[in-house]
Amino acid sequence: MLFNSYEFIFLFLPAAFAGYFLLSLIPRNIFSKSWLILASLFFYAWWNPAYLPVIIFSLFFNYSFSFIILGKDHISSRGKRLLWLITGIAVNVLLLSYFKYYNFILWNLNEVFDTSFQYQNLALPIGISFYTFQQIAFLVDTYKGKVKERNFLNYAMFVTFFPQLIAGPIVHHSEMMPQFANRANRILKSENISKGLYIFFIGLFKKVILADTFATWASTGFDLAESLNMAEAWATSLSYTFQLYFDFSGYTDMAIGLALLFNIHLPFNFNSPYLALDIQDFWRRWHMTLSRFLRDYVYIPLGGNRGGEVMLMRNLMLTFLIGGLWHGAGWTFVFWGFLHGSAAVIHRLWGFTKIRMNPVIAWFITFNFVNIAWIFFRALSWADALKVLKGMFGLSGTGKIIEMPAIQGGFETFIWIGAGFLIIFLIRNTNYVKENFKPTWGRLLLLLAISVYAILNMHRISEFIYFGF
Amino acid sequence: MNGRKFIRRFLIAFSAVMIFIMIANYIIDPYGLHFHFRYRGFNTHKPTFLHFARISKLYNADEIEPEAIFLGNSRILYLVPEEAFGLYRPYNFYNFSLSSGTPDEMNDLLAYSIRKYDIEYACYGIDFITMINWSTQYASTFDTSLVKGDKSMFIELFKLHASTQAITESYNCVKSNINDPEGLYVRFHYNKYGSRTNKWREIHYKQLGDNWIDSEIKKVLNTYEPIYNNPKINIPEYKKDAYLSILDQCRDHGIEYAAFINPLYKEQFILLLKSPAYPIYIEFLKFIANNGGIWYFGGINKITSDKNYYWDSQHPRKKLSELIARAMFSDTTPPYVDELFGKYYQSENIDSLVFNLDLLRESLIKD
Repeated sequence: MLFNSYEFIFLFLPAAFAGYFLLSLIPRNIFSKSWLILASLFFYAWWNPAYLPVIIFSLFFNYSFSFIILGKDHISSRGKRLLWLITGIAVNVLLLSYFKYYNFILWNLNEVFDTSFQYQNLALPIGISFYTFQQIAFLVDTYKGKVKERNFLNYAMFVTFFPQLIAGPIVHHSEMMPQFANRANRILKSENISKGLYIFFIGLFKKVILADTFATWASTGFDLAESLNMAEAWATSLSYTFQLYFDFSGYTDMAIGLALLFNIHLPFNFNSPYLALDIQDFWRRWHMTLSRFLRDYVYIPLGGNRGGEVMLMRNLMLTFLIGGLWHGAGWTFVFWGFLHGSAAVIHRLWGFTKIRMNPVIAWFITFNFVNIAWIFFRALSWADALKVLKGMFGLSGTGKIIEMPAIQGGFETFIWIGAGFLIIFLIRNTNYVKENFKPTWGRLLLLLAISVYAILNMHRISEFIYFGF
Repeated sequence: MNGRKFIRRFLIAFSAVMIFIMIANYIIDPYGLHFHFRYRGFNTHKPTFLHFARISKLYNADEIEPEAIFLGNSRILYLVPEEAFGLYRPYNFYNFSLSSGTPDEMNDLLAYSIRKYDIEYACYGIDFITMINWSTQYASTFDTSLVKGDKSMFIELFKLHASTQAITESYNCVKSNINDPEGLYVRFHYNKYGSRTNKWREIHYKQLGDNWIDSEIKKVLNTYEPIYNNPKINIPEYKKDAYLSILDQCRDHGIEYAAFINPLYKEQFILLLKSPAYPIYIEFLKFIANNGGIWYFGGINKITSDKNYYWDSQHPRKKLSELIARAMFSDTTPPYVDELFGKYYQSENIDSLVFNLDLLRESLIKD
């Protein structure tokens, strides 16, 4: 079920919300929590019930396995517990790999060894990358003895809670399970509901009006156009840059808003990333919960900044390569990770020069680097990526910004891209709104306008980009 | 204002706006679902010019009360086959074809027609391009989803907005085509700046010059080449299911059913045959032939090489419908066509078509 669908907004959400708070009137919280878990599983199964067993298996396996890692009476030897941890992580990675990387691995084998392994028709269970990462973190922290809350219902809610189930934010058990355990969160709080509605509809507007509009030009430019002139290529890449941001941050806003309706605070995932002045700054602002996960569970275990500059740079590069591969089973994703890893290494080296770059130049370089790197992230093939790149650097001819037939765009595209820049520069982000929200007449009118306008535009068929990861 | 008042005021205002839209929708009835309010000068103008758009289909069908329907995509829309088929099947025809119309949309429209009219005959001009997973995000399935099942509150609520743009588009579309089956005017999908727009350019066909159709053909081929070369092309199961459901509906209601594959202009046909999508095309042909049979119109012959039969490389003109009807109902084809044009295939003989196409593909690749 998509957040931007009528059945979600008008049927599922009211039912889930009303059921949860009505059942919360019963003193035993097992009923309200079970309701929310079942509602979340229903939400998940809406796409394809066949993948419901996958998430249920993953949920029970990891929860049970955490006890094995913990050891009987917590006295198992460290070596033994480590072995169980590695086994647990391996099962998670294998499950993810089977659905996400199986055909990719076969494709590589077939290409390198000229074999003819048959591909399988595997559809990626939606959200598997997200809930697998979250549960790996849970196992690791169980091993480290950091897990305090072990109630099964709270764990099941942490994994399945529908606002963050499909595309994050990648939440940490330590920030979620105590919230689910907190009895005070079972009471209706008008402050959270008003704030949640406001943020949800901001996200819906970003997705339906902004992201889906940019998607038209980006998709045509990347997937359909045979070649692109300079104006078309820049419009294509910038359209995708804005589409991705408004799409994913819109989804995150909706998730944060929905969670607030249930008095749950999800972590921020974006902080105006396109205002970043260097690549490190960018990753502190873009998909912050993924950056946090990669830092805590990949970069630091690899050695982090211990072991000197060379090791640090190696670890940075490996972390970004893994991050690239996490996004998708394809060499273009790995290359995208490589580009960001390289940029992080260069940024590190630049630090030694002690030269302070002018902020405007720093922003310009960072934004354009990110914009160009997204090309490899988006392109379905190397040929498509090169087509856009060639166009951007004038190797396929130049064109006028008011004439963009290859992407079915024109002056209108240019206006939207300009608006995209204005929004990222001038409008305060959702984090600010969440922290400073006050119910005023101005906000009420704005909420009414964006909610009605977004809902009346929801007839376009679309999905969130990060559903595929 | 506190949070409680904020929520209450928002919910009241939001509900009021939505109820207003719902009532307006019911009265204006842009999709022709109710026909309760039909006042001259208010909403009865829709049937006269909303001929091609999705939202107009139900109004137009209601005017005709069809006994026979066409299903298909824009190729069948431009083929205007009603007259030619009417010579052999004397029914009131209605053409439910839609631009980029997919089998699931056609399945819904057939179900709607069966519910509302006594349908005796249904003919589907099915095309490979609408069976594959191409650009599904752009196909406006919303409009035809309105006819699926019963009228839900949400459909009532939201259709007006969708219609605003569609009305304008369909007006421009029809204005440039309906009175002129041979195309005195040509509509353009984009303005002089290259933007998609509702204010479509209209140019007299004769003013376009002799090279116009060549440039149109090239343009269409440029669009299709990347689609055919896309390794991710496949035939989604839901489209197959929708097609099978069409057959089931016809069988269950005693409706005579026929399907044909539109003759592509030779350059697009060659492009398709030589492309990596060819195995998927064969899968498509076998699927249709094994399920209800198919009249196949293809090949490289005098007809498919003659620009006078086409608007561009994919849209045939009305005069081609006469040849199609003749082949289907009198089993005769003009002497100047090849063996791929106007033959009926089922599971028993589909391999012979595939064999001939394989040979043709090999020779084209060699050339």
